[in-house]
Amino acid sequence: MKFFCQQLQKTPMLFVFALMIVFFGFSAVASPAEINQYAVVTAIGIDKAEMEENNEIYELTLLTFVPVAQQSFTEKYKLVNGKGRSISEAMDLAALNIGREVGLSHLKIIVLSKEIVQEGLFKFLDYLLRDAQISASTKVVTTDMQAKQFLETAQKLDNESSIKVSEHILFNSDYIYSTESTLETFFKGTFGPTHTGLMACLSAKSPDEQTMPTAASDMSSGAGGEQQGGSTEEMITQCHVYVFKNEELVVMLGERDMKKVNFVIGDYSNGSIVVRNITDQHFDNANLTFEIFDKSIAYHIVYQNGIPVVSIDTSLTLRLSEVEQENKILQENVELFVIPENVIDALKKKVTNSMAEGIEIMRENQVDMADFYTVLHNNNPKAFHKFLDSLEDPEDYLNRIVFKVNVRIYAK
Amino acid sequence: MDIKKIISKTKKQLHNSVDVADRSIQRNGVEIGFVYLKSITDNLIFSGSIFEPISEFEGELTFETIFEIVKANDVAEVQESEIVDKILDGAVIIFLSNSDKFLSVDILNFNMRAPSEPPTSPVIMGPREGFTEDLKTNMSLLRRRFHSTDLVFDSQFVGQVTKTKVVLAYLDNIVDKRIVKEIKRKLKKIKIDGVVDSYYLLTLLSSRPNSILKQIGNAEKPDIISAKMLEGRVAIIVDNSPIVLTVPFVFLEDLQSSNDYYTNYVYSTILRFIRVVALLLATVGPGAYIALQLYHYNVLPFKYLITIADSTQQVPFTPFIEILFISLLFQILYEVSLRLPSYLGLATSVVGALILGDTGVKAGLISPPTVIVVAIAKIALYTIPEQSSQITILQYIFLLIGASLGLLGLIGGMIYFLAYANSVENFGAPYLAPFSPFILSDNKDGLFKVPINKMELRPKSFDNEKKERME
Amino acid sequence: MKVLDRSINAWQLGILIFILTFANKILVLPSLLYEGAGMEALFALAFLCLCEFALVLLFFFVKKRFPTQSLSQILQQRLGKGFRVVLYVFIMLFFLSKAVLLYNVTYIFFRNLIYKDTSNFLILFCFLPILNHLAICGLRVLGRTAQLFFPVIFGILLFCLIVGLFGINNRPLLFSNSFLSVIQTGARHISPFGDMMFLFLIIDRVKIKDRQWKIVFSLSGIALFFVFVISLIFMLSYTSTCFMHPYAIFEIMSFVKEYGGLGRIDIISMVLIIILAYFHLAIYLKSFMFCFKEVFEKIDQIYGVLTFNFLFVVVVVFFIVNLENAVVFGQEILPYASILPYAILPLILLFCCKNKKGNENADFQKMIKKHQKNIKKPQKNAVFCENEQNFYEKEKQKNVFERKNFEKENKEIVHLGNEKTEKENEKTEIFEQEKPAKKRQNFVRFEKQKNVFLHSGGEVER
Repeated sequence: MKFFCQQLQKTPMLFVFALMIVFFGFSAVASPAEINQYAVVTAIGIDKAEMEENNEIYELTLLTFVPVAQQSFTEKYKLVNGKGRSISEAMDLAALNIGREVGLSHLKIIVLSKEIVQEGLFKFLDYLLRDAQISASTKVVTTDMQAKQFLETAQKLDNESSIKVSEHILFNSDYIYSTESTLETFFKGTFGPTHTGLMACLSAKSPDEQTMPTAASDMSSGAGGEQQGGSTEEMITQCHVYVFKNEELVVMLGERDMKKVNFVIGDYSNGSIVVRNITDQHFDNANLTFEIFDKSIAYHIVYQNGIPVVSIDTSLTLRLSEVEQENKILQENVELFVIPENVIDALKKKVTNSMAEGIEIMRENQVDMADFYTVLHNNNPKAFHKFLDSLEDPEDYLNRIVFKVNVRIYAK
Repeated sequence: MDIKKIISKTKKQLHNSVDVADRSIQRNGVEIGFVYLKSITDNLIFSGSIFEPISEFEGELTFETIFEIVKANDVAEVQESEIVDKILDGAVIIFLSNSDKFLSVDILNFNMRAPSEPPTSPVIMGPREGFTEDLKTNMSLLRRRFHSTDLVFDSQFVGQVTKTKVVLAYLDNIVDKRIVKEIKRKLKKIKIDGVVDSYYLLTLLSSRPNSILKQIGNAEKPDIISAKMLEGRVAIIVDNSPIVLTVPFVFLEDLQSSNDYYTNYVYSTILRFIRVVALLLATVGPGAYIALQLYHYNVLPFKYLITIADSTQQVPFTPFIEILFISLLFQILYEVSLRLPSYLGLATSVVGALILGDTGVKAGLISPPTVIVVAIAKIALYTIPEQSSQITILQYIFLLIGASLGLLGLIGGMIYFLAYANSVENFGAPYLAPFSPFILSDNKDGLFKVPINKMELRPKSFDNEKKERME
Repeated sequence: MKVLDRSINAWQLGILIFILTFANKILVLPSLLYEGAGMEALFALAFLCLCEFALVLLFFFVKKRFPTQSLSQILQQRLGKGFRVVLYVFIMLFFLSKAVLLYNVTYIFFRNLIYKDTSNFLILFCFLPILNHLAICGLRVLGRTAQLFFPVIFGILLFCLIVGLFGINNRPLLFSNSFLSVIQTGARHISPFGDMMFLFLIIDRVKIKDRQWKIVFSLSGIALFFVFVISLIFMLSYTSTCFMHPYAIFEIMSFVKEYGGLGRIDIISMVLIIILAYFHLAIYLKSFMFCFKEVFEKIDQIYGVLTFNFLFVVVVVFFIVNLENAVVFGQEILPYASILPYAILPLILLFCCKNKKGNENADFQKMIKKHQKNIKKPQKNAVFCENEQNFYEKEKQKNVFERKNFEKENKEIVHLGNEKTEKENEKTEIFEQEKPAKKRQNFVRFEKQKNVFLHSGGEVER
């Protein structure tokens, strides 16, 4: 006892600390693993359900990971539903249905149905913005079917071919969507100066329904190939990009439209360009496909009479990937073949046209997807704001700006 | 002098122990008596070098003649009060009826094992000698390594009953004399009945004996000890113990291994980093695992989460009880493998761990990740075998902290413990030097190891003289 | 239980400054700054960082001017006891409130992100015993422990920076805020700054050689650079969504969550925040204790720890329970308190430096007088060595006059802790008393002796 007292006097904090440990240690002995207290949700689908007593009712579908006592460590999922007047209410109900608290820390994807999107997004996304557990890199997609149905398909696909929806989006983001379609990218656009947010739209279809052959659908048909016997299983296909401005859905852009817009937006450098009907010493009415290797865009801005003139200097590095002509195979060294001038000119024309069309799409819908606002602002804030003030509708600045497109092509 | 009387008196002083031998002969009217301990003396030397010359001597036997005819080199005249001590030291005492003086001849001899490679610190390339239980042998092992007058052996007796001889060995021109003085003072202060092994002194010399920290270095190999002495440390050799202590001690010493000095320096650097990682794994590994499982499932990566969730589903206990259970199991296996004869020990350790672990998992009593975490922690412990007992204690402490307070408590506990270790100074050496306080030149042989030719200075972590190693 | 406050060396000082620079500044500050003034807020941040650095510079000048005196001695000699006590009370409250603010911010962070639904008490009781332990063990142990964690902190910060660079993919909107709003934002969020006042409290416990100042400056410069760059990276990675992401250092890691298949690397930044919070709070507590000692001279320092605990728990539990309150407290009330480190203290110290009244000799004579008064009473701290550990040091001290081989006379001087110097002073004072006629001469001699003594420990400052 004396020893104890001496020690206590020498190192009091050790005893306080030990006391704390013992105090909380008893609870630790009894407390189960947190994993078993929470239902780990990897995907959420939000649908609109029937009206009840003049209240809008939402249906929440949670794709929940279910631990299974086995040693093969498979991911087994279960779909859980909950309905409520708000997302949190629905979430609570869903939690009641699972019998566990909902853990959103590993949420990977949020699926919104078309109805919800058309109605206005922000009341749903507010919940997701507030929860600190949800990571900003969670994918948000819309679907033209019911979110519940979509998740069911996705789950089935996941079990059978290990094609993950989120991977699908990530892969396609460079090709088609020009957005990673995450909470972060969506909010960044929406709260940014242009108020324009992009969101991918996915659908689940059976293979024969598919109409749009793209790189992404090639991939998903590859996934279909894994399913033996070419069954009528549904699979994920992309269809559109939804563009929102000021909380409202403005336009749905298809894959071809997005490709044009992508030429104007700097960061995305995947895809291919096809020039048709080339005839010269090498080719005879050939269709040439070029793969985009590298793309860089520079904006040069001058003000003429108070109106900004934006010249978009694009330089593209391309590689000839395919020559398609009748009755003839190009007998040239594959590596050392120099692309003729006329082909380069055709390419230039093609790209310039595409970019012009892309700008036109943005102008029509008044959506500044390429963030010209920031570019112009950073270039010369005073002149730009003077220009904005001179406009009747400041939102319509895209239509008033003069664009010039210069394209440089390096092809081999 | 009455020989019979004095022999019986001496024997009485030795409590008529069975190994006390006495002999008396008459020669030319002079009665000569011998008393010695059979257990620690050499019978052949006694008969050949002492008994034979005396019994065959033809002239008049006096104290002086005996002094001359005895065929031994350690012959001395002793006082009556010293007789018993000398006998206990392995001498034979010769009494003469015509003289009042006593003669002691040292014929100490007992069976000792030869110096062999110690099981605690085997090396791949390097000297394989180890200290033995014999003080003389140990001293000779050191003396052989220093052809120098600077090597000093300084002896002292500790233990009121055992009177164990403790020898301080140091290099006179390198060591800081205050350290020697301080050790001597501390040794003198020790009031204990016996020192059975050097570990007793390890506790008694520490500045904080109640602390779980090991504050005095120990080694079993003369090459390690001589290297440490060259750094300016004092070696404490205890009779009957093959473990030699070194003072002052810093934690870094246990992070170093003698192998490091006999291989490539880059490789030794890698090994030292591995030791630090292993140290971390061993101390906080299980604690961190339980903290993540109990409090922070949300910071686990999804793939690991799946593995852990799937495998802990069938376990009937809460995670804390489970991990305690497995830790205990491992500890029991360890204890058994240590205690059993080596051939049986091998069987229990391998078979026990494999079979118990595997069947435990299959029976659904324990989960594989927990087994792995505990097993890694228990194995990692032995990358620093000298500190294994301390680390084991810390392992349990951190396990408790992790289970009760989570990640925040775990890091807090680490800070607490390191602050505590930082507050310890032993013989002027900060415990965690050269890391904190950071001493650049000492870090050449710290976490990083530079080639020998770059280690120009002696450690500055503690006091020593003559800083330069190379001139 | 005895509070030991031995001196620290240049590295330890530099590392304490390094640690003191972070915490709040890389947690909630960048987000708030962006909300206030967009990208231009970086100018405000840079200015505040420079102010912080200016405090370090001021510390350098004051230390040069008064190499051995403590702040309280400087103040007392020139401005009187009353003023000194009042100033110390304010500094004490300043550090207490900063500790409360920092605790609240980190508490909310922990509750939201790593401890779901955990009570305030668990986190409070995680912190308090460890802070108290660090504070009681003394400045040197605190410095050493910080030194041990420094590579970890530095490594993680560097890692965060590099990983954070991958997250930048924005074109920020520049020049959109007025100069006035920048100034306002800077003024509003000044509260995380001003911690360097701690340096003046330990001014007499820092043993530093002239050439070692560069360590201190470079460490503090690096720290401020880190603060700036982390804010920059954070702002560039999030721009318009900064308001959604309150915890800068954590968010720049979580943005690149799926890094190298490791999964969630953001746990690394959590570890960093935890370590920084512990040390930062311990330094606050230590500062509080120093002030407490000066205000209540006769009371043991342990009561300073107890008072801090009591006040801390009361304020945290009863007044500030959520982030909103804490932020209001930090933005509305604390900025006014920043006058203390940025205006009052520098002015006072500049005044003291200019004042010719006090130089070291005058102080020395005063000390002698003071000692003459006290000489008859048995001194409490005359018993220098109480436990065995100190015995060794006592031995060292004895040897000072025994040793005759002064081979390394002109080599580096070693400082072996404050207590010894005090003891030395005492000795000199007695010496002085005997021969008052040769004061100055003896002082010089004493200095020499001290050097000899300091040599005996070896070359390295430990």
